[in-house]
Amino acid sequence: MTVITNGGSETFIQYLNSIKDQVKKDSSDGYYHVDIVADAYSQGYQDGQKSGKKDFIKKVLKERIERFTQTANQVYILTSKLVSVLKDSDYDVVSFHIDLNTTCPRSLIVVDIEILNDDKFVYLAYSTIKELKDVFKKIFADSMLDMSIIGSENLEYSLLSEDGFGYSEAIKPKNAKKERTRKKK
Amino acid sequence: MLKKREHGKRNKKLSKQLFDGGIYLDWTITTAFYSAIHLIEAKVLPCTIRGQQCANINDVMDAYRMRGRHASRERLAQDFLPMEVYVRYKWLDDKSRYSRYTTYKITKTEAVKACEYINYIEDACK
Repeated sequence: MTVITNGGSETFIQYLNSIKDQVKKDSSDGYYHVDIVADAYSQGYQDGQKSGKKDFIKKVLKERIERFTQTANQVYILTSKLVSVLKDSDYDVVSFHIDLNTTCPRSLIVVDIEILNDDKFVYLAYSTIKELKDVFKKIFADSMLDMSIIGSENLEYSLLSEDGFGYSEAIKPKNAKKERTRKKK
Repeated sequence: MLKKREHGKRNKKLSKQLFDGGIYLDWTITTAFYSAIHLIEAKVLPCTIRGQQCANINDVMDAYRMRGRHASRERLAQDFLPMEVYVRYKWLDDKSRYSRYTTYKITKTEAVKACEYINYIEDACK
């Protein structure tokens, strides 16, 4: 599993572009495969009007890719928001991981295990998660964002990718930035 | 909902026993979470969601138009319980669901916290 160390929105967009073809092949739960829908649709067409089916498939694929991209971008934005809320309160985040494969996208934030046992952190992190999930729900009424937090101790990163977390980004500790600035001076 | 509450209490007792045994700390957390599920359902249900009467978690799923029981239960806790209860429920949920990523290696501090949180949830759901 590759955890990107110099991540950011551009890196995420590159990742999205690399997996867009997957959306075309995907026939996840709750969706009919586009070919099946197109076959049903084209039954209304007489012989020789094959272009109707072709255009229909193209349109459905385009809409699905647009919807996928919108969802993915929101997952990234909301996950980054949680990271920034935690960092603003001086809690270091180790990394975050995103799974876009399911109809219910998941994001997982990794923090030091000791932080995760701190009641103040638990309240801040999970009440923020609630707010962010509400934002997602308002945008995508028929989908839900699954946002979770896990401790870094004993974490096996390979299990994350096996379980569908295809995008991973490491977060620089807040203090590391300060140290670098001091060294430059 | 009496049965649900009793079920919750039974799971909580098992969670405590597993903690005292000191070996299966991952199961301490999982059983604490299963306890929380029952205690929360006992507290909140029956309820009305979007004008629909909900007597059980399937009704809740239907009213929220959601696919999974797990996600529906979390939404129920979000919408009907104080934030202090929701955050503890969600902590137990995450720990229980993702312990497989740490090959079930759970520290004693985490297990202590799970016991603390399930006690809090039980008190809040009386």
